Amino acid sequence: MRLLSFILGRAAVALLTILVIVTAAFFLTRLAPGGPFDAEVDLDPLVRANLERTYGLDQPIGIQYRRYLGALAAGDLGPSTTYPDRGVSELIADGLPVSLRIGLAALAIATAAGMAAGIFAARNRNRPVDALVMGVASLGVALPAFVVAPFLTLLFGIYLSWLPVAGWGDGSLRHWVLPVVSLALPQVAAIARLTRGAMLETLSADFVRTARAKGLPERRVISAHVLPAAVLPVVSYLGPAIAGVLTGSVIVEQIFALPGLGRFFVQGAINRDYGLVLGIVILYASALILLNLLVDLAYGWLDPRTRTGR
Amino acid sequence: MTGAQTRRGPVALAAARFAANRQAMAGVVCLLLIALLAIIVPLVWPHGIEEASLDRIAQPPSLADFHWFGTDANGRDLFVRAFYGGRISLAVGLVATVIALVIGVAWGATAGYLGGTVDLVMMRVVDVLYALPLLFLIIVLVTVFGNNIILIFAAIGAVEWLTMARIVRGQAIALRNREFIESARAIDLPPGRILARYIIPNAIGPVIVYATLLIPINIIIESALSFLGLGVQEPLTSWGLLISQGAAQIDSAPWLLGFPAILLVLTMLSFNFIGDGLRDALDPGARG
Amino acid sequence: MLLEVSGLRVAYPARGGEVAVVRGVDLAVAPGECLGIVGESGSGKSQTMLAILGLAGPGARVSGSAIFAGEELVGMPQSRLQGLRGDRIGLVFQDSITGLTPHMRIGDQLAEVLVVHRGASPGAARAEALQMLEVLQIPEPAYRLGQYPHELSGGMRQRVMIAMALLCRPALLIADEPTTALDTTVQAAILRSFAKLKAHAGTALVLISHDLGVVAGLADRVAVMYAGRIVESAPAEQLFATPRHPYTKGLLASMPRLDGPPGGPLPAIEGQPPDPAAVADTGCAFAPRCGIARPACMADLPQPAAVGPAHRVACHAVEPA
Repeated sequence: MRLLSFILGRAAVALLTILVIVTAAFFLTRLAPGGPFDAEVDLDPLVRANLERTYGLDQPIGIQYRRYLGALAAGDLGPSTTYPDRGVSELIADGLPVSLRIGLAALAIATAAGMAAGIFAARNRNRPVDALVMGVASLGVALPAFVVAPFLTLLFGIYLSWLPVAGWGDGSLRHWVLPVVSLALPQVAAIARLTRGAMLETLSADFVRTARAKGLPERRVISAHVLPAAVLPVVSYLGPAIAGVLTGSVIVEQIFALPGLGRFFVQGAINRDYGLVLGIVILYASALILLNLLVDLAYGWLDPRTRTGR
Repeated sequence: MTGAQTRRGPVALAAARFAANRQAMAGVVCLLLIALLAIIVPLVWPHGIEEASLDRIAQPPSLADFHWFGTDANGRDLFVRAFYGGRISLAVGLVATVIALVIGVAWGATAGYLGGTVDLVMMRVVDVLYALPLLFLIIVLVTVFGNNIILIFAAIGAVEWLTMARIVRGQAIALRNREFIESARAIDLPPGRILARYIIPNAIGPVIVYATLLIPINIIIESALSFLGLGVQEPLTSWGLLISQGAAQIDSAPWLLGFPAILLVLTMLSFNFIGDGLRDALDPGARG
Repeated sequence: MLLEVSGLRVAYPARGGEVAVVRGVDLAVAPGECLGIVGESGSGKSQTMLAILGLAGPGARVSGSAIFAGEELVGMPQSRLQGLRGDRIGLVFQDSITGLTPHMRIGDQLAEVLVVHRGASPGAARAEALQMLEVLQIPEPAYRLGQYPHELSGGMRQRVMIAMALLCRPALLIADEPTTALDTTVQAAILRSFAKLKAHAGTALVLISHDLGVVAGLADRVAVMYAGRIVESAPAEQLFATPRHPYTKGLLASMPRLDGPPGGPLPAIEGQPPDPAAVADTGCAFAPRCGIARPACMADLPQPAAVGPAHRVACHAVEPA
């Protein structure tokens, strides 16, 4: 019951947060100087008025806001000025599967590979392989996706011609590999560093000595006593990692010309397509809030100390 | 511990520890070099930033004719552009960090020192913003207010102060009940003076460390914005914009990507090493 | 003898060589006997026991001999040592908040010992664990099995750790400062359970403590360690009645006594125990703090010599019997 009320409480806060974001973003975009039709310099005032009427921009702002919220509750994010024949909701429905797939794949790879590298380095502490893995990780943290991706393209796409340079094609695995790797690499490096530090700290804890004194085989000491404790900092880093993958995906989708949300978002931002930008920000914010809630729940499940006293 | 060491003050001790950290010192040297070149090169280089020439389009690096980093698709010299871009990138990183610093320190110190409901409300605001994808907010801000370079500074700084606020709040809470603050309160110093005179100076260590680590983050954000075409615009340039232009021609002229990318990554690494070195120097117990 | 240690040496690599923390220790424990090892922190008393069980820190160099029930422990592969630890030899450490694994329920931490060593089913292991908690008089034992370490008091955590060490009915229990972090009543209760254990189960006990008082009530024999060596060993009564080494005398004098004069400050031994890196093999390590040191004490290492039946002292100022 405590868990349920915790989830409900967090969900209420999340909903409120999203409402605040919608409101702030809505008024920010509507009150801003310049609108989506500013690019066409010599727009006839009559045509302009017509366009504004089509998009409901001639109404008082309060009414526009109420309409937007009403439509939002029904799952309709309004029209897009960049793609006039399709609504924002439709565009999101198109882009979401692509973004979701590369995002989740990158996150899974980052966690698995990062933890494996960190554990490996910790178990080989102060040996040359440790220094090597951690050196690469230090570099990886400093390499943003927009630097990694072009180089990977050059190597695997152009010189070796193993993988497509860009595009989604039929959505087959070949088209995912480079975007997912570019997206995952900085997080792999960060998680590897974090895991190594946590492993070393845990290995020197008193309870590890107790476990060894019990005569447990080393494998069991590591798997049952060390890892669950060492994984906690990694779990709390997952929130920022998810945010990093989300933002990274905007850049990676741009580089590899993938038809995902990030690409629509950048197109929308360049064209001042407020409906599209607003819709995608709401979606990303909701996803991030939801995933952070899941991370918090996982943390509580892994660390009994946080469960009591709440 | 020798007698000489115990007699030195904490600042001198931290400085000695920092100077003994080879990675951190390498970071300092590398960063100073890049910063110096970013200042000097555009002033003295024989080629101008916008000096284009049709007879030397996209030439690979060569020592002849001072095109050390080669030329771009418009025949402009990359060496001078790379360091000019570094000026902008470093400036954005620094100014955005200062803005974040000012907002974060003021916000965190106020919340932590006043406590109670004020603290609760202020930190709830931080929690809410924390849950947001920050790059998206910056893009919204830049979209709405236009990608003027001053606005880019402001948009990044206005969004990246959250962690700073949390750090300072934690320090302020820890300091609030210490004796010297209590005596300051006892002689009726106004809260603003107590914050400025006692709380903030005493919280400075972690703030410096975090600020050092925030600069590269902000440089990356600027670069990402410029890479997407939402940041610095021609005729100005920055590392992100150069990398973006280089990435577009990576098959024909890889040096256009290579040199700005190397400068950016070296800068990132330098700041990270300096930040880690500062943390270890200021808080030697934090790492084993 | 159940455990016979001779010439044990433990050293750690250090800048420009190594630092020895145990410098040639001889010990013997008979079945069912309680040996007390006393010394200040850094005297090597814990390192001696950790080293023979293969639990010394990374890089430790262990030499000498430690024979347990006919088997040489020094140089034994970890896999075989694992089979002994927790099964034939139980180990209890000083209570700390992180002494038990924080993310595991008490029941699981107890049961895994039996699962690993005896191949017991989880159900049977739990039942035995419950029984052991009852034996150690932990209140509401069934409820404790489902709790996490942070939900227990320090005294209860310590008894859980003792239960853990006793589950496989070891022939030898090594308790390293088992009562140090606890308050006096809990301390007394835990020492009483050790006494019962010795009397009923015939378990041999090595009790390591910096506190002579803890050792006094329980030990059959006492070894006093200083700077990695045993400076005096004797049957407990004899050691308390007629201590011979100046260090032992100092320790005893600084101990509060019910039969001593009330009030008044307790005399303490002047100075600090030496840094292991600064101990040389020439001369008595205690000499700088010793009230009766003579020139020979600085030059020659005193060898242990018998001064009575089973009473050995390493001191130039004590005439051998």
